[in-house]
Amino acid sequence: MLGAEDPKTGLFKDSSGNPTNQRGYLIDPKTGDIINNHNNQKMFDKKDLDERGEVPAPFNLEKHNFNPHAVRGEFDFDRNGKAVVVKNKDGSFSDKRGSKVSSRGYRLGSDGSVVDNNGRKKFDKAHMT
Amino acid sequence: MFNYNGRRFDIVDTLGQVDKDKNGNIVPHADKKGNLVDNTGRRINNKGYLIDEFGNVVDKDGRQIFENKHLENQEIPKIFPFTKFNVKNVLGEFEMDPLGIPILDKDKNGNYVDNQKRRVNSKGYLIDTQGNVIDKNGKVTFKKKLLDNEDDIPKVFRTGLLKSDTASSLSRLMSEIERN
Repeated sequence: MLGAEDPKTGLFKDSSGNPTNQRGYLIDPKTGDIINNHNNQKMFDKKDLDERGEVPAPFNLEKHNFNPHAVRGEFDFDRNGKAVVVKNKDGSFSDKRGSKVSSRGYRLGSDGSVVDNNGRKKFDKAHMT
Repeated sequence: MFNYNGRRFDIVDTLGQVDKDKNGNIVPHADKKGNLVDNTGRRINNKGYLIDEFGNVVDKDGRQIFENKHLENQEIPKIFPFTKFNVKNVLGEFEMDPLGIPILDKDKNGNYVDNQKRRVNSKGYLIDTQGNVIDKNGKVTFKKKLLDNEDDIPKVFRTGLLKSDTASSLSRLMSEIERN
């Protein structure tokens, strides 16, 4: 989805009025850096983008960029180095802080999708094996 | 998940055992030499991946999964079986000889070009002036550092392991249903 260009200013905005580049990526209007849509933290420096405003490879190819630590619960580990995932009476699983996780330790949202520390969906339930 | 060689691995096996702060961010430790280590003393990078002395990402058994030079900001690429990639989008137009080697012309500067006079490398991939592989829209798809010494793209993208994105929506849907 591309950002909509304001004919007066030549600047691009999303449907909520947030500044984007021509490719629709949210940007810091002061620097042109691409920012995270949840916490506004910088994700890509402007100089790393190509002339079309696209993010650099391999991020433009594979669309499931995430850090695995951010989508996993917090666990103790057994002596084999395996995360200890707590199984609840109802058959669901939790990490040591009580957050809902999958049997393999991934944080789950209310619909069963994998979410990150900020509760943002990173993987659809359909992609879980 | 696949690495660039097309080998399947479990991403959990590449993670250090680290504590997290209240926001869920990892809290690595440093050893006497200032290297980041996990709770068991294994070296990790600043994204929490197990690494060897050269910064290559390794699994819990020390097997190399990704070379350091292939990381972006210390992060590994995520290549899934459902990642869509169509090699035709990065190939020029050319004929092949009986051995499967591209038959390519050269421009006046000695650079390989395809039938449409677009720059390609010796394997026939569309490239920019820096040698990065680009798609038909001119977008960098593989940086030059990802190519092997024969100018080929990573094996996982040329061995049919990934889904092509040429299927119709209906056939993609049927494929998903069959898989599930």
